[in-house]
Amino acid sequence: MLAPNDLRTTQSVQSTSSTDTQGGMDIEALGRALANTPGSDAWQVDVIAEEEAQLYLIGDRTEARRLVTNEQAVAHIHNLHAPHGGADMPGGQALGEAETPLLASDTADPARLAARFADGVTMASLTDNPPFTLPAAPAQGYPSPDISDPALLGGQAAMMAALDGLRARLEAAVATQSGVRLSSAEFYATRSHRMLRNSRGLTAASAGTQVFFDLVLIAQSGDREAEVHAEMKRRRLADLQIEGTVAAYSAFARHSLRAVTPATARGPVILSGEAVANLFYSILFFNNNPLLTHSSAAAAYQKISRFKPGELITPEEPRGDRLTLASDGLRPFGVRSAPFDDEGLPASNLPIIENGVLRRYWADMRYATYLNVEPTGNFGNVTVARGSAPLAALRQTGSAPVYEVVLFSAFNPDPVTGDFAGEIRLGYRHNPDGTVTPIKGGALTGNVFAALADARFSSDAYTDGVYYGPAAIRFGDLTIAGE
Amino acid sequence: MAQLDALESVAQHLVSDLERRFPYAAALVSGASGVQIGDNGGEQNASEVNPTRGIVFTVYDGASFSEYATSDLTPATLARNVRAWADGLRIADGPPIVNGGYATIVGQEPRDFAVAMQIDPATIPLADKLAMVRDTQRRLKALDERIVQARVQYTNNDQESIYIGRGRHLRQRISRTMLVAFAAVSDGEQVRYHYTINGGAGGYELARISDEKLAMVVETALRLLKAERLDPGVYDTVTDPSISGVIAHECFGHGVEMDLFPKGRALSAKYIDRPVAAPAVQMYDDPSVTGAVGSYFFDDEGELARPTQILRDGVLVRPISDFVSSIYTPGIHTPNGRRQDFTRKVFARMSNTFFASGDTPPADLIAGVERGIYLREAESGMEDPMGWGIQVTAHYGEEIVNGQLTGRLFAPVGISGYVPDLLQSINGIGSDFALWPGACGKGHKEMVTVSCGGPHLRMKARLG
Repeated sequence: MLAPNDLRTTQSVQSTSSTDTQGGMDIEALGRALANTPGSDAWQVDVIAEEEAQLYLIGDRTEARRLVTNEQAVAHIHNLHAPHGGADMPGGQALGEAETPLLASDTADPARLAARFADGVTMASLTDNPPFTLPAAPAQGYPSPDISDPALLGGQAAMMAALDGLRARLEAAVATQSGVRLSSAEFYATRSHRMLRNSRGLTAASAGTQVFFDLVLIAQSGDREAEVHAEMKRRRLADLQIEGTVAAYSAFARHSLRAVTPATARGPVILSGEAVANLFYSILFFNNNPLLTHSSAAAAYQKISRFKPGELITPEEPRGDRLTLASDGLRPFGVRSAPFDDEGLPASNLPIIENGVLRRYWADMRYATYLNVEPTGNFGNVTVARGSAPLAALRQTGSAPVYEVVLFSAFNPDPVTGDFAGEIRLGYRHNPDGTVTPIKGGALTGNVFAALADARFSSDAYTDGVYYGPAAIRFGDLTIAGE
Repeated sequence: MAQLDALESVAQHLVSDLERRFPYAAALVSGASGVQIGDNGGEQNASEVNPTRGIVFTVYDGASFSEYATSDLTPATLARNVRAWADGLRIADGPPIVNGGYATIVGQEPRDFAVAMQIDPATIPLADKLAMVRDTQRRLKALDERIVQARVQYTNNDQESIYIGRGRHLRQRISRTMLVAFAAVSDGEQVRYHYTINGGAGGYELARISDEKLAMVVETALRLLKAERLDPGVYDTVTDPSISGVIAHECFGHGVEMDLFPKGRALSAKYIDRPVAAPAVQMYDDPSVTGAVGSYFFDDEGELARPTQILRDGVLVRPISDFVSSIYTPGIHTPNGRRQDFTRKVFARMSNTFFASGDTPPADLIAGVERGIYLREAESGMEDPMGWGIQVTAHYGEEIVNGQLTGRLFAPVGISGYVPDLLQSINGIGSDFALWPGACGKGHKEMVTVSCGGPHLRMKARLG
């Protein structure tokens, strides 16, 4: 069990909240065992403990309630050795690494633990990489971004009660919407506690909360029905903004009922809300996105990046607003905020792209060493500078309509090429006569890098808990593959 | 092993206790082991797979399901915590369990299942696996000097699960082996890539990629440097098995997952026994396909694997379900109750989903197209079970003119449209068959290993 007393014995520990998720793995004992393992020349060990309550609804019925506790540890073992097969390595030494995940049953038995670590060393001794060092504890200590919701600091029963409170608000909010019913909803409340320790004396710990909300609303008019689906992740219950979310997605559902398939067209297209956030990170695999991939030191080292520091990220001089994008791990209650990253590097708020030019690669210790650049740590929340035009101005038409996409079925630009083809789940055609027609179906196609060379960013703001930036971007020339 | 025996014994006793109080109770122990190795020439990595080992207890209280899930497998702690959790549950009124929900033969002897392997990966020294990966990487990298990144990834993942409930005590070990070769090439202006995957449910014998396949990866990546964007429109389209499979998966895979029925989310609920595709179209979900990556012997609710025919002669005949959704109309229970891991709930999920083969050689499908596109290598897809929209993205397409491939490539190419329109337009079914491995989410979560596929198909599709 990891009690608060254990936390206070570690150095550089950040007590970011009073959450008390407790685990059974003793990270100090794991550290001692790693230090005593022959061939474990450098190491890091993480322990993550989570407690979660989950509530599932079908309409107004409870489908399921779940209580989950999960604790796991991972040891990262580094071994220095002569390169195999005479490979050329800086300093004549190769670094091998292995990840050894640990279960409670591994850590409870010293002999078994020693055997698992010995296996890890063997695994590490067989791989060759250019060496790099793990980070030391930061001299200035760690920042303490707010990442815990006091409303979720009780046990699992209290978390479930909080979810029942959300459910009541959800049902009340849906009841105010005409022609819309609740199809299903899922709520998860999670408290997590993370500890990290490495062979350079770095020790760190943090605690945080997270809440997840999955919502399906169905609008009905006569025989016609249309659904909208929202998935939201936040640090705090309040940030789900249940009433506002229900109102917005109810409107989307009603609009979907009368949406038409757009005609094939080429011209200005606005991405707004959820659709614009989709441009800047991947929901499934965060970094698997053109901008985050190409701005990474990993992609530069692997010769895949098209970006170079000091150079434009677009294939031509931008004609509209220039992209400024930062990695912000400090934003209060940001989903990707944390005192430290996966290696124990302190969180920061750093511009990566400024005025359309790559300012720096974001880099972990490995690739920072390989490229001889400053390590930034993992990418935090994605912050994009807003423009000067209000959303209403972006929607202004000329002689041709302007299209606006608010929901994609899935928007997954190719992380290497930047090309995309995403089906439009809901959008609008702003017609020259001032009318607005909902659209659905067809696909928006283009290339992220080319599109950003002709873009205007709204002054209105939007966030989904990870993305903080303009509520809309108008691109000058994209293609809609429609009827 | 002694520890696992003790855990199973405790779980059996706990399930027996719970079955005396509740209409349904069960336990599932699950976890994984194995290694993954990567090599891109400059960097190597080796690690054990995430074990995600834990146990989940489920009860139905007469109105809803409750679950207690934990990674703490210490028998004494588990027994104490499960009893404390169950003490807080009460029987409620609600829809009765059907389809065999009540316990029948508690204490039945365990049945064990395991994937057949020619070579158990556990018998191969790690050094030999690393050497195999490095050799494959070097063979790939040597093929062309325009390769900027040649990467090879090997994974062996043994998923083990134990189901106790409804009078069943089942154990299975699903071994999946994958070898992926990826090549990125550059002409100095842009980077393009291609990849190939060899793998499935099986052993180390699957960890091989031939020189011919590696050459095809590089050749395709180089050809993609000249790829164009396709003019949007409706095209006569031939799909390779991976694209056919993603169409099956998104259209009447997700579209017939019965957990969506009580939520009113599946339009297919209104189309059972009605035509939804061309009359020649047959479609299945089958977790019992030997060697397929989405196969298993029993699902996460102890239901033994067997095929489900979803479309027969173009008619929607049977959805797929988990135990929970089988309570609701139309009361069908298929072996498709799956969970991402013990921390997540069971849903109705696909396994191996595919169109059945026809009798036309694939080359004849292409020969029958005057002007059209041959779509290759699925990248992704997204479901729309209520609106019946479809999104499938192909890595590339090749132009067909007068029944011949011209060599002109377009990338990427997206299919969008209305599912019945697309499936009704199928006018040719290939005599070939292949399955494409992948990971499937429900929305953007609940990832499970699946495959999808079928033969080449010819249809009319809106592309862009």
